Amino acid sequence: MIVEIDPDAATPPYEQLRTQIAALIRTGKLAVGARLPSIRQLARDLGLAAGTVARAYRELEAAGYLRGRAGQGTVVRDIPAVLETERTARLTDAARAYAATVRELGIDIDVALTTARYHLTDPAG
Amino acid sequence: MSPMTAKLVGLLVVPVLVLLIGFRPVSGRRVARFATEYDVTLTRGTRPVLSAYLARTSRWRAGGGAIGWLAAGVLTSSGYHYFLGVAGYLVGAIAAEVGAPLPMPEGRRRASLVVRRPGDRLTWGARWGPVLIVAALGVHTWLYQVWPKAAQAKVPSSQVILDLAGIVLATAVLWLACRFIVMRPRPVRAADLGEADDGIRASSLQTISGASLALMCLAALDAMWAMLLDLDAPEPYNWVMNVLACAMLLAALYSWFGIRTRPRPATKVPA
Repeated sequence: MIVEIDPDAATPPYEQLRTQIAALIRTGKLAVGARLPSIRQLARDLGLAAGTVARAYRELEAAGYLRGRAGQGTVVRDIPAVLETERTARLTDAARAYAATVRELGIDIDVALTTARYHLTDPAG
Repeated sequence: MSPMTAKLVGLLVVPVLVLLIGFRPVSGRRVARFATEYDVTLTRGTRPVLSAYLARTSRWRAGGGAIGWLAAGVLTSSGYHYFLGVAGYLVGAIAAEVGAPLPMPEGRRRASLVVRRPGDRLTWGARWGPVLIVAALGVHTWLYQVWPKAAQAKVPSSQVILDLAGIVLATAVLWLACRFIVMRPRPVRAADLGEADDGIRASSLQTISGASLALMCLAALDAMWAMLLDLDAPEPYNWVMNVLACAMLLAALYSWFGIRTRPRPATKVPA
């Protein structure tokens, strides 16, 4: 399992990391009970500050995805239930952000939809 | 040749040979041998990386070993050349690891979510060696103490404590060095460079764990040898202690020449 950070993206690195790990847990690629690397290891490998990875882990813990225990590291806890209203709100926010980027870049709607579909169906994520 | 000249030649021959071997240019055959041993695919990208690694580590290790050997001749009486030579080699091997062998890739940064641990690469001998060495020294010292003439024992306890401290120090160095090497940044790279990185880590771990264990064995052997020289014990004490000392000598040789690490981390299945 690989996570990828784009340092030039508008989304902050901690948020990129958070969404990717959450997606890996939701899709079952990271099973419940699986151990994640330490904050220091992941931060070094990604060339990020330890605080950035710590924030991503902290938010995932707060959302119920992860559990951190002293001496045991960070493990996948569960797939937390998301309320329908929250899911819709977050999907709308993400779609709006994507639409804004597409407009800013002056990209044709069909191209934008094809690109989005490609990334939604790409097995590599 | 006067005894003084003979002593000087004896002192200089080994370090000069070590330096000549350590500083010789890295040949293509040597790179190919390394690649075969550590399961690395030789490509246009990996060849210069491995060549630079072999040149840097060979020089540092040879330099450290030569300085250690010379220091033994200058600072101590004879008999400690091997010990300080191996210690110097170990210091040089660790110093060579400080320079990052592979640069971080440009652009998007990718990393694996697999946990890295030193134990995933070290073999059984490298992990449990320090415990076995201390146990053997403990049994040897106990036999020396319980034998009927223990009241006249001439080996000072300070020597055993000093050797034990050396073993503990070498264990700490081994543990910290292994941790440093395994926890070094490992971004996701092209497949061939990833293999080279794995091979470099395995080779460094192998050298440092082998030299550390050999040093521990030599420290234990120093105390054991002193006890054996002072020994006038009945059988089977004598036999057991001789066997333990011989085993320690063989263990030192095995550590230096035989210890191996895994080119790839042991496969883990997430719990």
